Amino acid sequence: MADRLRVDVAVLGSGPGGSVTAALCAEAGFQTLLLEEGPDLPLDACRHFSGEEIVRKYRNRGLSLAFGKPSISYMEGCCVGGGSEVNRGLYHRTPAYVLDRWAREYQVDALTPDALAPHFDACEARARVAGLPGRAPPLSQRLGDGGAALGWDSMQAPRLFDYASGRKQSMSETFIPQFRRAGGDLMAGTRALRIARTNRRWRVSAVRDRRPLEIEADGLFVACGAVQTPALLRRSGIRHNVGNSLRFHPMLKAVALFSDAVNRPGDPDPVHQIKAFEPRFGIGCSISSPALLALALGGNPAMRAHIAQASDRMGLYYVQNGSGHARVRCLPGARDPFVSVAHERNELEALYDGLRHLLRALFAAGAEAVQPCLPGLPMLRSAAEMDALPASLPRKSASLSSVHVFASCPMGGNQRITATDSWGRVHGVDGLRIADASLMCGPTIANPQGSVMAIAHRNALHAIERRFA
Amino acid sequence: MMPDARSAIRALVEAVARRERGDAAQPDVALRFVTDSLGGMPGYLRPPLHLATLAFDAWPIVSRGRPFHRLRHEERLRQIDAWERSVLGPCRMLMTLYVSLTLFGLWPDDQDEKSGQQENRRYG
Repeated sequence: MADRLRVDVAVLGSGPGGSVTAALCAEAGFQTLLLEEGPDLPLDACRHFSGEEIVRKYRNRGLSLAFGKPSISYMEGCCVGGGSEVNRGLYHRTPAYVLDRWAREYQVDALTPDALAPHFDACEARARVAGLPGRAPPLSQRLGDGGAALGWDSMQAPRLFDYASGRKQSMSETFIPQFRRAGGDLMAGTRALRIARTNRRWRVSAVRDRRPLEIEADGLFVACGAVQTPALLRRSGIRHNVGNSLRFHPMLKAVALFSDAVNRPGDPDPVHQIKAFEPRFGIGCSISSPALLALALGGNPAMRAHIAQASDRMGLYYVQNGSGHARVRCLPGARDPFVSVAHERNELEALYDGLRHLLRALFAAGAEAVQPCLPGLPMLRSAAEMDALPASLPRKSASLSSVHVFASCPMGGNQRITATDSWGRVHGVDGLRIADASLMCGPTIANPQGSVMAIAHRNALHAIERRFA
Repeated sequence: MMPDARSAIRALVEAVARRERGDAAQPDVALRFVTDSLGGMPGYLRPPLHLATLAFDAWPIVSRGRPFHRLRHEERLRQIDAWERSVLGPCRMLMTLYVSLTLFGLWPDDQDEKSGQQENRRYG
């Protein structure tokens, strides 16, 4: 016999979209239940970017893969707060040209920069967004210097971070406490299996501690992330443009070896990004711990050999764009959805061209040697040696990774290509809304968490005004 | 002398650990990370991964009369290298998975002094 719960509003998933939505619903006076599949762990339960964090806070313990040529390994959080707990909190408002494209192609109503500004303002008032005080760490500054030497614009990305206390402004530090103070109930370790509409209410069939749980709600928001949201909807028989258009920001990486220390223990996270080539590709800096350097250099033993003695002189950098168009499908009897990805040649070539730009920037920044992180490619000692690189991306050996997944259920008035209307209401289904990165219509190249939060804020207020109809 | 997936993974991690870090290697720490990670992988990947790992272990039986996990260190490295360079995609993917996880696990957290809570040492 299943346990039963009855609430006004249920929100499935506690990542940035779900947490913002749940907090607003609870503050509006609705009895709100926030369900999360992963565990409820404090922000500092384990070291950031450690193996322990991967095992405890990442979905599939970091082993998620979109199959294709090349495949993309992608990371998702699976804990209270979702991706906001495990990312760096780099923050951007959605670029105007991106919103303009979504409005034109997907016919999204009222999604201009001016219309979204109050929602960004509201989210930024709750989760502090700040620039790095003082000078950036050397690993970061080198990228900015290299870009400047080549005449390329760069900037220091703001972060969802409270630099006074040294704490990231993840959901478990911001919107989830707000949600709880407003009387909301959070249920971690609970996996939604199916949803169904009966008697003008939504019924969520879930499992918690291996016990079945049935939840009835007047309003239902699905915010399980861009892979799990379409998987849940498809398992529940809702398939119109659901899971057909998943996108990533796939990355290629390079490691630079400098003559002096750039990567010192205790340095703040790097923040420089070269924006001059967006949307074709964007360039930035990564966390450069010995473990992450070793991981990136898995196919490059010559540079990897320096880690033991010289990791303080090494920096890990990336280039990313929007290559890859993926589908999410449920396999009979399998718990996890299957994700397949196809690439367009021009998008992959743009990414590879971005890698060449990154290599040039690192040499311009004074690197002694630079290693493109693709198996079999040589360690380079000068920009001139880039002539030895293959003319195009070696697809067979290329390993792409992404920390952003989105756009699997895009929103908008164009029903031919969208899964929901402009406000996240699933087409043809009463009272069901999506509230996560699935709603985005395509890549932003910039970090998407700010966009997800603002759009969730906008759509939640719209839903509350209409009492979830 | 039968192929055995668990023994093969342990032998592979030990070989990569010794190759990479010599006496500084902590193969048990890396092995724990590898096995913990594999425990979370999507369920539909587990049967093909298990079979591929068995095939990897069985590979040298014909030529050397022993499975991979019974080979000497230098022989293990030669087989890892051959599979990393294989023309067959699944062979390369198998090595990429195990070697990547091992490399990450070889640099345990207590040697990585950077964490989110330590970031504020050098602001300003």
